[in-house]
Amino acid sequence: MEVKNNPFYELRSRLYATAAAGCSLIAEDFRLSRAIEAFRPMSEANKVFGKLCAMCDSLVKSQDPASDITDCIALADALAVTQGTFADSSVTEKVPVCSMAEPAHLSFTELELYKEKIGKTPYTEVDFDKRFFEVASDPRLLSSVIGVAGRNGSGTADFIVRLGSVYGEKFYTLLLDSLDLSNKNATGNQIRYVSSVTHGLYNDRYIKLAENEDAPQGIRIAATEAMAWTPSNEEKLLSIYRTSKSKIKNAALLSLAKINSNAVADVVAKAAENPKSTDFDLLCVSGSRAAADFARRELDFMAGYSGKEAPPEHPFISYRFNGFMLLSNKTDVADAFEKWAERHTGDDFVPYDRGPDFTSPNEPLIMNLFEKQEPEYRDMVRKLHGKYPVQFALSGFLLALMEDPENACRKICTDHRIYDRDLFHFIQRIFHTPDGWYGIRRSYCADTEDFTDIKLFRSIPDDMLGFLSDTSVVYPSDEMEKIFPKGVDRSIASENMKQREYLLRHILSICSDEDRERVSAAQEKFTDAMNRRDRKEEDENKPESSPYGGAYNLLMHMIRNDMPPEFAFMIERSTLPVEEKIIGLKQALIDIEKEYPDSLDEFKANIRQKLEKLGAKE
Amino acid sequence: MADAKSITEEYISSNAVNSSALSNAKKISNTGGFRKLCKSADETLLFGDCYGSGSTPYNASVDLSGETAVFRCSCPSRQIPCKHCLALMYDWVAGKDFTVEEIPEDVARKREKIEKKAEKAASGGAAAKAPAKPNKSAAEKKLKKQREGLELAEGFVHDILANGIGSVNKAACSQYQTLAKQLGDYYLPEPQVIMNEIIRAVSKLSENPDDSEAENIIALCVRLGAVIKKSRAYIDQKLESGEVLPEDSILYEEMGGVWKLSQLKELGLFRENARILQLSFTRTADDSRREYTDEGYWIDLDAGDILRTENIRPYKAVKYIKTDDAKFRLYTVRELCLYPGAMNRRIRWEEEETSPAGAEEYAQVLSKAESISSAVKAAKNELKNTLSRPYAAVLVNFDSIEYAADGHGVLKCGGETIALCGYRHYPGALDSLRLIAGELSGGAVFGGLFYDTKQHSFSFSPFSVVTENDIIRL
Repeated sequence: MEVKNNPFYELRSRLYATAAAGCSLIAEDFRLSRAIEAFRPMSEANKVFGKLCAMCDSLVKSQDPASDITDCIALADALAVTQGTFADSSVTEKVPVCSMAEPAHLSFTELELYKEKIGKTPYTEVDFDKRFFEVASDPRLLSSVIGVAGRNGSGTADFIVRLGSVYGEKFYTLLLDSLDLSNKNATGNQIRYVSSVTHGLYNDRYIKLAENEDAPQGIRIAATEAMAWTPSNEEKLLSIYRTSKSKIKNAALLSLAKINSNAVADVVAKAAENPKSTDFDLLCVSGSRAAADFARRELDFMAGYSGKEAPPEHPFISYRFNGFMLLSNKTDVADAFEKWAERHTGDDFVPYDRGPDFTSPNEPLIMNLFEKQEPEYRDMVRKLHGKYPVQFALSGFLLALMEDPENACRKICTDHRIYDRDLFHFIQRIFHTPDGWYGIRRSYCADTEDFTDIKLFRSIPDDMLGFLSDTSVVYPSDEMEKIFPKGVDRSIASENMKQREYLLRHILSICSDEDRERVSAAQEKFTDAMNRRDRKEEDENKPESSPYGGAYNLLMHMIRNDMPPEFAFMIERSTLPVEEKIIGLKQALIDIEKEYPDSLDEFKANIRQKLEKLGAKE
Repeated sequence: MADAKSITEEYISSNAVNSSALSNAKKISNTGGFRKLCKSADETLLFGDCYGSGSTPYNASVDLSGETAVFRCSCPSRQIPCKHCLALMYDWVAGKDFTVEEIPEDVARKREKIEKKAEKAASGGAAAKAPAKPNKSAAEKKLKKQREGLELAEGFVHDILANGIGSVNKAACSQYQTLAKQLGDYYLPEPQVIMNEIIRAVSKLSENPDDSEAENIIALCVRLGAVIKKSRAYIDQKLESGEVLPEDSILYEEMGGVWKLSQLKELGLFRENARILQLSFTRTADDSRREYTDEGYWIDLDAGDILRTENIRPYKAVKYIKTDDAKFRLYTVRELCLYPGAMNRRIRWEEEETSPAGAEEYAQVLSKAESISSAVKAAKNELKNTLSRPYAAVLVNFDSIEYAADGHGVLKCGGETIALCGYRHYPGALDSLRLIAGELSGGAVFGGLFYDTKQHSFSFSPFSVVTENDIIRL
């Protein structure tokens, strides 16, 4: 049919070309004439083709071709439509059933609103309400979710975790089914998320993807990483390690090191003997003896150089590396932690007022708790915390939250002066998922691609609310100096009060409907106690009041006290009504521009960003 | 609506003026913007105080005592309902505590006024509404003016086709723009839009030459040429015969005429007690016309033809015109007015009754679906007309939807097949369909049949899927 009609289609496209070029010289257009001649035999067989041919003949002779050509094209178009075919003979197959997709009756407005929110990052806390998670399985929303699932940062991980909490296995399967192998820039983050939750459950898929040489690099890397959840993958990982290049090879090496494969023992040993900065991850993930010995040596070395300038050739003395991480993924390194703790034990310990004191040495222990299932890792934390409660309060508290959340706070915090900041550190990472569970994020901020979290409990423990609303930490401000003659102790006490107020607000903003009343009561109790104390001293540091509301007061207070702009996140997380936030931010921007026209650019940008997030214009 | 019990999420969405009002209302509701939530004892009135940007709280209320809901708020917004009224309803749907209180005095007063008005209208209504007499001489004058305007437009098409697209430089473009503006004075808004589209496309083409864009410009010129020729013949015939009032012809609208429901009724273009069900809904933005269109496709369950609703919202007035939205219930329309045309005629109505749509209605929809070949045949008849829309909306039976190795979908029915394609007004439809395709075992797909000038074949863009139990929007 197509071949038979070719002269007609050629004529049609010549008519278009002639019209586009201008038909003032149509009589000399030999291409059009040739097309008409080629078409003439066809016109004899069909009446309408004959009419077109006659029109074209008169067109080339016409005195006013610009008027006549539209009729010719209109007829050619109509004929083209009537000649159109529709059969598609491609070889096809059915697609697998997507068990998650459940169409919902959504209004277009609601649908567009959700789709816009899915596509527009960063996400804010109020973007996805309860209703969204009820209807998120609608195929129109799901296809939008699939579109962003692999994206880095911007709260995507948090969003994916929340969806996964509701839809579970159906969602994991969908994420893996929808990996776009044609997208060269695919990150494979979906695999990272699914494997972080289900470990080796989809191992066959990971193997298939990792071995697929046509798959995008990002997907192959993520699949190779996920293969580390299944130690029996050793042979396959080895084969990938031997046959691949660059980043995929490195991912296979790390996975092999993670499962302590003997096949890469030499590589690890070599790295331990003569380390380069690129070997850091390898030495961290390896649980081998060589890596553990190296970690011990390295920590000793670092201890020797503490506070001094390190030799430039040493690869890991840099702010980029936390040397303690070399102790992660190793079960028999308690001695190294103890050695360090011994060096930091003494009666003259003065805690830091703003945050935990020993974050770095606790980090590998915390990472183990998040990632490792073997009981040895928990035993090590238990042992270390038992022996050095101050130094390992952070990891000890996380373990207590995992094992006995009802008593975790009272177990760890035996002294507010020392332990409060360790508890605050983790409590601020607690989040609520739509399936009714509270979890704890490994990363502090939701704006990273870290999917790792631990499910904790379905209801905020009374123990935690008791800790947060403990009014024994509230001291009358006119007695602060008397009670705490040392400035640092005063700061700690102030911080303990301030952080509690903030965390109670945070917990209230994320808690479930069932918990709201209890949390609210705890918050009221603590706020009452704070209100009763004479805020004289506090008031000096408190925002002044203004008619523009809490957000404005806080911002202006931050500026007057030279606080960094990042602290504006407190406004975002506060429970102030959105309108109050918007008014405050807008007014603050006006006043800052007026008062500081040539400085505070970062601050101004931060406020603009917040306004945009809240959907408001300047 | 009788009382607040019937407020649902769908009801709130359908009343919102636009999506941002809805999203702002959700924010207010989620963050507990209302400090005081009250209801009347009979639950026909919800009211409350919401803190906004003003120094005093706004008094918002939703009054459901009458035939239609009345939204009142003391905020300065010109949108009705404003975000505060919507938030008040969200709070109600969320099950928040509303205390029973006396109806505020001002609301009671306003209720009384409305009742009095209604009574007055009921008593003297029949006498008051005499149909307005059509002004024949004004219509004739307008036709003559339009005839003049068509000459101007014809000159424009002639210039481009005689000298070629390449001859249209910046100076010519600005001249043509002035000319296009003038067409507004000749009551020819539709040719004016096509002309503006051509001018815009030509200036874009000069920056970035592209064969398919050149073909598109010529197609637009051909369309404009056809509108001019047909309209001129239509006007001449009308002026000669003296029957100058609008008649059952698409040309009236093609020249930019706006139909009144009364005109359509006078011409007999209406159906009584029509039962219609929406098959798909989308919103589009047209920069040439500077307007949004809320477009819904419906099926008449008795006649079986596919009809469409268009709610046009000019950019300028978008804040104040209520948006239309997806509808899932069965609509029984006392007088369904139809615009002239053959396929997918536009419809409008004033009064309807709705009821839930169920298996019986879906079965009726399925019974109206046709085979691929017969749908294509109907589409050919429609699309060969130069003045037709870019596609024909049809309801097609299918046995299965399968996918080729390159990822494109194929709709299969009996021995017939047709390739699936995407359409910008239903952007995620293909992806959504793929997600449910594995589970579908027959039914009907509603969508648009497009003719692809490059492939010389038809392809089908899905908008929704009809099964025995539902209409799945894509």
